[in-house]
Amino acid sequence: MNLTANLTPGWRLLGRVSVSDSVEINLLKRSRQSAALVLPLWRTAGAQAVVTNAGLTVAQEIAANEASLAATTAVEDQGTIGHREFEFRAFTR
Amino acid sequence: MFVGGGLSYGSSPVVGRSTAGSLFYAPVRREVDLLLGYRGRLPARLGQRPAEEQFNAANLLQQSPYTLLRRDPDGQNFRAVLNPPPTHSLSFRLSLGVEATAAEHLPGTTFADEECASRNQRAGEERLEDLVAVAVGIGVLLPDQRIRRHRLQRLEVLRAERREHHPFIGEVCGLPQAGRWGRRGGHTKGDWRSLGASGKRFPVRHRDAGSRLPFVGRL
Repeated sequence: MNLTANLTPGWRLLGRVSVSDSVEINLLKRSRQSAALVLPLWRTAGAQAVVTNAGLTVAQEIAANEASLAATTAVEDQGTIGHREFEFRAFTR
Repeated sequence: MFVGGGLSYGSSPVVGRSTAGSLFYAPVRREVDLLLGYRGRLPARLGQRPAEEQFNAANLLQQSPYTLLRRDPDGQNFRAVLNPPPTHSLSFRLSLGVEATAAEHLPGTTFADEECASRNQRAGEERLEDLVAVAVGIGVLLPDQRIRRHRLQRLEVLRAERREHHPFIGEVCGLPQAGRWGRRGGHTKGDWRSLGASGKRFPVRHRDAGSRLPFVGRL
């Protein structure tokens, strides 16, 4: 909602108010599918100590992947990361 | 004489969820800009030309040096961008022959026009704090965000989130390295690869926050 008030011929006040809602859904659809395919293999006992090109073991890679997934989908179906539901701005001169 | 200003407010956004299930919120954002100006004429011996002085102060509140973008479930690591620093500027405009019409001084027709109008009036301005001679000449210490409270905060910066190119040719925003945020321009890839070592603590300064470079830090 925008409001403009011409208080005097030389004085104008402008305001903007927004109230919105946002919900993230279906995040990482493709990544989750590919992870579901490879994780069973990665989790085999013999693979855990194998060192990848990044210098991490497979076990560490799995932990990093799970941490990244948890962080990215933290508020899935509940909200949106960084979304400010109420914002107000005003300017006058 | 004319005065003006702006106010912005944003409620707390959710930035993550802890392993226990509770939500993390970033702080509320409040910011204030002010302007104060005087429009008149020079003395008769200087030709009585129309002249205008304007003082602008932007981002006055600066309640935090950075804005949280995301916080990991462990509650420690977070992603953030630095906030623009508070700035104070004094500009002087002198008309050289062509008088401004009254319409040019009227308020803009839209919200965006108003903001642009205030910015345009700062054309040609210089930050006084960078002009040492001016500070010496008038014999006062000018407002300086570097010496105000909360202007320097030490954070543990783990790595830069990504490289950011400025829209201007040849400008690549600096990254925290060797204990300071770099300035714009002249930075090479080597500068930000040096950020790879984690666990180092870098001072995060407002005055170098113009890059809006996302970074990963630890609380």
